[in-house]
Amino acid sequence: MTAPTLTLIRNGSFSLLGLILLAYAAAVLATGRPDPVSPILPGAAGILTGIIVTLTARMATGKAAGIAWDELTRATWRRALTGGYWVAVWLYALFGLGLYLDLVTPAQSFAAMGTLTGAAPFLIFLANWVRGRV
Amino acid sequence: MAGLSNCLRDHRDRAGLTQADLAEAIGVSRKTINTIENNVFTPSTLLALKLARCLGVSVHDIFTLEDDV
Repeated sequence: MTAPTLTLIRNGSFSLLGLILLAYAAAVLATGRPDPVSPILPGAAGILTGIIVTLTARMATGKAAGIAWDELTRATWRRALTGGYWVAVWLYALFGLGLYLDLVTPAQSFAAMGTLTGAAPFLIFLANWVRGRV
Repeated sequence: MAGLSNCLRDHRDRAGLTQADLAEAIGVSRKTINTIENNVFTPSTLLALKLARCLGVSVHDIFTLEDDV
């Protein structure tokens, strides 16, 4: 497996996971239910993504895996995690206000905040990757 | 604070290498070379040394503090 293939699989998996988590949060807010579909879905998607990315990297040669996860990629990922942290902080503020104004329930907040916090690093990583930013 | 500028593209051209050639030689992606050349990404000391060794120049020949220019 070549480095571009690994990169494609990683970015594809991250895209799919980010969209699943985002869609789950949107469904929670739209339906008013903390479990609009099976609540196992977000966690299962995350674990499956981890397995896919890890297994494909192990199936490739060390050099290909090193190129796919080179210094730029790791720096972009670290930056995405930092961005994800601040998204989580802002979500607390936003949903705190929503709870205070009775716009959302604690159960909805838990489900939406958890999945949005999970989606943030993956989507920030992909956005920066596509724009060629670190 | 001084910024970092580089003339990696000049040295690469002089060596007759494409971005892909240089990336392959030091084990990074072509995108990494591209972002370094465009001053978007500052490489680690290790990567800077690998680049310099591959191009047969010193790190100081490639990277310069903008105050020094």
